[in-house]
Amino acid sequence: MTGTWGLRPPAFRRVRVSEVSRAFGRSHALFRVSTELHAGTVTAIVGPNGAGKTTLLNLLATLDRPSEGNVTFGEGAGSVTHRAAIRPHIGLVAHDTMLYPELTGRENLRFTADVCGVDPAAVSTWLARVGLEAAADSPAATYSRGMRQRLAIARALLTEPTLVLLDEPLTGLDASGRAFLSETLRELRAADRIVVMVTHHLDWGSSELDRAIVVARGRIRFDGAPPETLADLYAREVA
Amino acid sequence: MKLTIPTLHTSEAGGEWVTWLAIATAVTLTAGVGMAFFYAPEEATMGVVQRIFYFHVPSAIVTYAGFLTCATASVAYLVTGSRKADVVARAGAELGVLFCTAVLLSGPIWARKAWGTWWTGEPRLLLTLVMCLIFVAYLVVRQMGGRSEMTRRICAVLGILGVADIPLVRVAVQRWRGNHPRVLREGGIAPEMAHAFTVMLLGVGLMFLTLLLLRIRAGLLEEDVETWHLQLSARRATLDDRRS
Amino acid sequence: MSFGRQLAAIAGKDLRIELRAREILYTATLFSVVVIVVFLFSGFGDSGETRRAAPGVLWVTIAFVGTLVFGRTFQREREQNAIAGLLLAPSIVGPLFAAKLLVNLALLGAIELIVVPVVTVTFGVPLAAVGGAVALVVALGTLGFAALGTVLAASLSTLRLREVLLPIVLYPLCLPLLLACVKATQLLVAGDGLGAARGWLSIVVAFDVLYLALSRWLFGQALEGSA
Repeated sequence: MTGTWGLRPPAFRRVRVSEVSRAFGRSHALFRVSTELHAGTVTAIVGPNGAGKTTLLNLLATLDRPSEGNVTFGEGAGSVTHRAAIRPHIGLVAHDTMLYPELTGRENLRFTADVCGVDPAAVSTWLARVGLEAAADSPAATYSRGMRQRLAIARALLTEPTLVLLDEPLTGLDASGRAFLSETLRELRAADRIVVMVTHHLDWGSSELDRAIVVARGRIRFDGAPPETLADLYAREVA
Repeated sequence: MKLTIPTLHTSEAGGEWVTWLAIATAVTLTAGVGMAFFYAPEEATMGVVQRIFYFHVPSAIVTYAGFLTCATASVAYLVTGSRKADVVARAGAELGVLFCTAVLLSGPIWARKAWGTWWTGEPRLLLTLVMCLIFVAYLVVRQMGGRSEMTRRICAVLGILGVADIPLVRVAVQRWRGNHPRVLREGGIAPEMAHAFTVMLLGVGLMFLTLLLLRIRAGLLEEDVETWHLQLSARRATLDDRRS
Repeated sequence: MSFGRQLAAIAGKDLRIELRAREILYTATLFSVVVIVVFLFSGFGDSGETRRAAPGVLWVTIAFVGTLVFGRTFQREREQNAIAGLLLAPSIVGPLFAAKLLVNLALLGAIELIVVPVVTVTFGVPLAAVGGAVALVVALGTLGFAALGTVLAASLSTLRLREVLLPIVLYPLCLPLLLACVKATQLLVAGDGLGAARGWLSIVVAFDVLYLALSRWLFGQALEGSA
C-alpha cells in the first residue's frame, strides 16, 4: 500500500482497562471490567444488544468517563493519563457517521485535516484509498450508506491514530468494502496500531482477528484468541 | 461479590447538632415574631403592615446567602467533581428560591399599603423577580435533566452564571427606577424596631442554616439510595450469572 | 497546532453549510418579520407612542431570533455526532468556542441588518439621523447576548428539551443586557445622542466583558464529558 500511512509511530503501545464500571441511573452498563489491549493487535468485541459494547468503546475513546476504575493509555509508570494529550491519537468510527451531510466528501476530510493539524495532501490520498475519488465533490448527503461509511473510516484514519475504535464498521459496506476493511485492518496491525472493533458480523474469525472479547450484561464473558469464526464463540458464550 | 453498604450521610452536614440548631431557630423566631408585634412600636404612617419588614428584609438577605452558596458549591463541583458539592449547590438554589418567593409574596402586601399598589417596576422588586426566574430555570433544568453527570455540570455552569448576573441586574434596574425605602441607612428607626429586626434577622438566618443542612443531608441520602440501587442491581446480575 | 487554522476551519465550515442549506437565515429572518408584524397588530404601531415602543420591539425581536440561531448552530454538531470527532482534536475548546461565537454573531448580524431597518421604518424612527449610534448599541448588545447564548446552547445541547429550556434560561440572565440596550436605544431614538446613553452603554460593555471572560471557561466545562 502506498500513501502516507505508517509514517507516524504509535504514540503508546498499550491500553489498560482496570476494574471499570459505568453506571447509568440505577443500573450498570459495564461492571468491573478489566482487560488490556496491545499494539499490533485487532480485537473484536461481540455480544448481544445492550451488553455494554458501545459503552466500552466510548470509555476507550475518552468521550465518557468510568463511574469507577480507570482506563490508562501507555506503558507502565510513564503512562500518559491526561485525556487532552491522548485524544488526538484516537480514531473513532462511531454508530453515527460524524460527518456533515451538507459538505462534500473532500470538504469533510479537509475539515478534519484542518481541525486536527494534518497535512491537507493526505485528503486526496485517503479519498483514493477508500474509493471515493469520483464522488469526492458531491455532498455527503447524496452518498449511499456504504459510501458514507467509507468516508467515516477515512475521516477516522486520516490523523493516523494509535488507537482505532470501530463501532460496527461493516454497516452498509458491500463485498468490496469488506475486502477494503480487511486490508485496512492488516495494515493497521502491521503499523503497530491498537484496533478495537465492535461487531455483529459473526463471520469474522482467526484469519482477521488476533483476539475476541465477548461482553454480556456488562461483564466480560470471554477474552482470548478467537476461534475460526466468532459465531462458534458467540453460540458457546452467549446463547 | 461483596455488597458494601455505604455509610449513611446523617452524621455529615450538621450531624447531631442540626437538632439544636432547629431548637435555636424555633426559640429565636418565636421571640422575633413576638418582638415584631408586641415590642416594636407601630409605624406612624403605614400601621401594622409595616411589620412585614421584620420578615421581608431578613428573607431577602438569606436569599442572597442561598444563591451564593449555590455558586460557590458549583465552582467547587466543576473543579473537584465532588457529588457533595453538587448536593450543596442544589440545596442552596432551592432555599434561595424558597426565600426569594417569600420576599416576592411579602413585598406586594407591604407595597399595597405604602405605595398604594400591589406591584410597581421598583428596582429591588425587579431584581428579586429576575433572580427568582434565573434560579427557577436552574431548578427546571435539574428536574428535566435527571441525575446524570452532564446535568450536574450544566447546572453548575448555570449557577455560576446566575450569581455573576446579580450585580448587573442590580445596577441595571437601579438605573431604571428607584424608590425603595432606605429607613435603616438613614437612621430613621426607633431602637425597639432595631432590636426586633436584629432578633428576626438572627431567627431567619438560623432557619436558613437549619433548612440548608437538612436539605444537604436529604440530598446526600438520595445519593446513597441511588448507590444502593446500583449495588443491588449489580448483586442481582451476579447472582443471575452464577445460576445460569 | 494553530488556533487560527482550527478557528477558520470550524467557522468556515459552519458558514458554508449555512450558505448551502440557508435554513437558519431564511427561517429566522422570516420569524423576525412575523414577530414585528405581531407587535404592530397588538397596538404598538398605531398610537403617537410608536417611536417609544420601537426600541423594545427591536430588542425583543432580536432576543427571540437569537435563541433560534444559537440553538441551531450547535445542534448541527450533534446531529451526526460530529461533536465527538471535534472533541478528539487537539486543544479544540478555545477555537471551537471562538468559531461558534463568530458564526452566531455573523448570522444574528445578518438578520439584524434586516430587522433594524424594518423596525425603524414600520415604527417611524428617523433612521438616517440615529442609524450609526443605534448600530453601535446593536453591535455591543449582540456581542454579549451571543457570548452567553453560545455557552448556554452548548450546555443544553445534550438535553431532550433544549429548545424550550434555552429561552427559559437565557432571557432572565440577559435581562440586564436587554434592559440597558432598550434604554440606550430609546435615548438615541429620542435624539439625545450617545452622551446621554453613556451610562446604559457602560452596563452593556460590562455585560460583554463579564460574559466573554466567563463563557470561554464555562464552555469548556460544559463540553467536558459530553459526547
